[in-house]
Amino acid sequence: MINIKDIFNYSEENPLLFTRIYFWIFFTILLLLYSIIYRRKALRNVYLFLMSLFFYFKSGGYFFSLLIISTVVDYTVGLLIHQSKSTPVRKLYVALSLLVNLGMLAYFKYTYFLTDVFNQVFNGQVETVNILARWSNNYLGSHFDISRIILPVGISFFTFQTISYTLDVYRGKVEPVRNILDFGFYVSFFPQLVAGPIVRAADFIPQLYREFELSVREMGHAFFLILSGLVKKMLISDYISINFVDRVFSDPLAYTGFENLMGVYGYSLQIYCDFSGYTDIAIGVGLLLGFRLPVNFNSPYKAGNISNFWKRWHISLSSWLRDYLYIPLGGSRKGRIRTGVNLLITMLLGGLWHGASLRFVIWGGLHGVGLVFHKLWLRFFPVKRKPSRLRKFLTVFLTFHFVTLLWIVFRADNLSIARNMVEQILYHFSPDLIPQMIWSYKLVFSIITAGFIIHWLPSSFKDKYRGFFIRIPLYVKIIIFIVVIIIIYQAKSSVIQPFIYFQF
Amino acid sequence: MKPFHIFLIFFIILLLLLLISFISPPHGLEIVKGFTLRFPDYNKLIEKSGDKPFRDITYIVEKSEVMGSEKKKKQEESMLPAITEDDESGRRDSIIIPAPQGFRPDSLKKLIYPLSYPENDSTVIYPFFMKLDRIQEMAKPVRVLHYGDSQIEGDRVTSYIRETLQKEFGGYGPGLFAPEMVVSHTVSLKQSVSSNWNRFTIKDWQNGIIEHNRLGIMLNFGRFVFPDNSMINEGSLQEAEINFEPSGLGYPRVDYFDLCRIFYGFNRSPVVVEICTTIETDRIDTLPETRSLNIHEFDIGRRYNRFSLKFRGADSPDIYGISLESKRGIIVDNIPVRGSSGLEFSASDRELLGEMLNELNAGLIILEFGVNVAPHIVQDYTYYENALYRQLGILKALRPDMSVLVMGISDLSRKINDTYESYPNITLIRDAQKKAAFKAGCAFWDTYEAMGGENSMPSWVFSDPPLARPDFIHFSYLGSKVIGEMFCNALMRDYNQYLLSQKKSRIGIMEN
Repeated sequence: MINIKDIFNYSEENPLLFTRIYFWIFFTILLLLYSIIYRRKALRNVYLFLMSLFFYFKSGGYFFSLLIISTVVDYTVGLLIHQSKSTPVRKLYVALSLLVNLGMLAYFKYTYFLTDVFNQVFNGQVETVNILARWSNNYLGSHFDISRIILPVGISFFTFQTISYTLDVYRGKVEPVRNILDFGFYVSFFPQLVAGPIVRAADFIPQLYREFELSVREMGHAFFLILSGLVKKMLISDYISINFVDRVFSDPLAYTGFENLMGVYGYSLQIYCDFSGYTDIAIGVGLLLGFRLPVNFNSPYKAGNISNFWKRWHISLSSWLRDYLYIPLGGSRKGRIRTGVNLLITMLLGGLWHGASLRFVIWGGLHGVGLVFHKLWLRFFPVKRKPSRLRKFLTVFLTFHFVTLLWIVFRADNLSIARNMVEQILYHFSPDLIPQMIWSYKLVFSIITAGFIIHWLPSSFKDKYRGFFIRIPLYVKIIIFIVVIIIIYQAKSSVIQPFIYFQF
Repeated sequence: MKPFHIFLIFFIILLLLLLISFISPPHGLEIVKGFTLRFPDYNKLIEKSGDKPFRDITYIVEKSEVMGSEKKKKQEESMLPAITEDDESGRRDSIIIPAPQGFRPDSLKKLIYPLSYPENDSTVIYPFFMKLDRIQEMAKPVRVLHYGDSQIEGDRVTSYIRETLQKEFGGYGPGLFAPEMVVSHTVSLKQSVSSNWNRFTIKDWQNGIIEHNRLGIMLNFGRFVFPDNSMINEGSLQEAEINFEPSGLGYPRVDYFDLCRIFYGFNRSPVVVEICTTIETDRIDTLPETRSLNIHEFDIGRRYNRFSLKFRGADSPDIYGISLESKRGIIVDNIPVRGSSGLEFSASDRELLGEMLNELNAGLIILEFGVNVAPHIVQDYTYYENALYRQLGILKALRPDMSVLVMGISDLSRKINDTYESYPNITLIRDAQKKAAFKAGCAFWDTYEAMGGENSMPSWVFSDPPLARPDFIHFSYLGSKVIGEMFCNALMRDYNQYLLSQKKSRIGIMEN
């Protein structure tokens, strides 16, 4: 039985995720109080800030202190930069912000990776000890495990967000926030805190001082986003991952090449649905509270080239990397070779942002190579006229497969698994067993196929059914909500796909 | 729109969901046959997910040498202050779940789940221990044949047993493998074959695809010419190839071997076989015509990087297996039979089976089956007990001085609503296996209890790093090593007790 104390305590097993009913109960209660105070902007911001801290505490425990550190540092730095007239001093403040934010990120996310690299390069025996935990145990009497460094939830997102604020203040794009509670609210706004989108200060901070405003149409749109996000995350992503994709990636040698290929396609859909589903819900929830968050995914697998893919995939991250890394490196202003090098550096670091492992660096690097190749291609074969349907199909097909094959390196636990998958696809495809395999995995494969079909539907068609949902009466929306939740529950509670043998 | 409207909408949705969960039947609503509409259970709302009934396997993770002594050391270091605090204040924030019953105090140093014997008579395994005891004097290596279902595919579990026994008793080489393996990349070797190889199993005999059941020791044989009774066309020579290379994933001992032995039979015309190590051709021989079991031996004696066997002939022999092995010591063979429940021996030609067991100097057979029985849920598994007993009887009769050991079914989970739970029939199947083993005078090792018993599989899957695959049936490679470790510790402990008993009886004889 759950007791009142449990509701307010941090529990690793019970984070407040959008996919859990507890989040929606939390959100409903939040809305009740919000409806009383929403007109008083200062109080509204403080209220949402405190609720966001509570949300983060439920998901990440005492790591919410990192949020506070990041808030205090960047709030102060923002004001100091604004007050200072001296460029070197202003740069020093920017450096301080980068040191604190990237230092936190490096410590919590990259210590193991950097230690491994150091040990391999210098043949060392350096071990990782959580010195912060040891310090806390010694001086604060806590009992943290010093043998491991736990990655705080959402640290990659909120550190990038605060860095963008400091740099925007430095560049004069945004005025510094005068009230620290308002700033804390910007850093910790719960819908986008743990999985993005990465919100720019310039886009969000002006909203802190606006009245609450939500049209009926916007409400319908928010509901649509929440529903489609839940379907993407729970009906598609979670189902195919539990029942097929995870198994294939856990031991590709136990599966035929065809199953491996379907596993890779499945993962391609899974990661899109997982990521975009979560941010769809975040955008929807934010909108219901009167805050507009940026669009983060725009049918990325419709891209006809790799540059276009990165304009459609995790847009808030790719535009962050462009504005705060690629352009400061020189962007495309310093000649072709430097442009290529800048692209590669941006993508290598972008890869590393996704996870502290060589695999992510390789993944990012290969995307960088793809971007450089595309730039070269355009130089020799510039696009002069509107592409034919066949050409469009071929470019989308090629881009999709390039991106999908690189997901193998991204998802596989190690490079040996990635190699095994490719070998199985190339040398043990077992085409004779395909009909049998399709029949046995009919539900999983149907969901994968349906997911891709919906993804590739023309945007005009998608706009039509979204518009239809927005226009239908509220009671019908509620019925659809209930029906969709019950359908999702069928997937969540279904028996797991049995293990099937195709060769004896 | 105002926030209060949004609140009302969510409140209504939550209320309706609660209402639906109240009024809906607890086991769902059968819409059509085979499809039941399930509804959220409001009871789950007040249940903590931390209350999951998964078995605590911390003692396995902490005691296992496989899981890494370094990790253990770090954990101990970091746990010290917490333990002191506990002792002083008597406060605990977690419940210590007692280890399963079989977990004996003498296992404090090592992770052991003991073997059990009919009427506690461990002498049933002494024939094997006697061979181990005299292994240095033996002209031939002693063989352990590890049969299993997909749980051991890819040389899982077996590779750890092989490494442990070879480290103790000498020997090297990966042992037997089929000409065409279902999983061709194991932790010990990588096999690639030409496309004309066909693999024949008991199902092919039952389906009339092959006309005989002489399957051999691996319960399948391979041919590069499809079997038929037509005349052999001497003019058209068929070629086939089998290539091996070390996988780079296994223990170094599997990369060495002295002998490459080809077990074949039913050869209607001579077949030329070449063994090539790198580019140059090392040796060429001929497999003569034969109806019965023949063994062709290449004495290699080296570490290999990549080597090939090339066959050329008008017809193909039935190839029962190829063995890469040392001349002495102990050889442990991994023989996975996908989809099997371990009942194929009675359907296969016993004469050939017996001949091969003797040729191989089999000292111990391990049978590790059961997960394919679990999906067929019935109330009574006497049928399985009897069928398994029959197999064990056959094996023992074929080679009376060989020991047989049954490794019982492992835990496997099914999903009920949104949680995982053990199949309800596991203990029934385990008991059937145990009874069959004891009735046939065989040793038994309870894999299910060794893993932690009921609902231990989710703990193995969710362990970090994972000890089982996300299908909630199969061990991961790491998990298979942990199982191998527990099993070997038990086997070696009993071997040491055997040695002690032998020493005592020798002293007794001398004193008398």
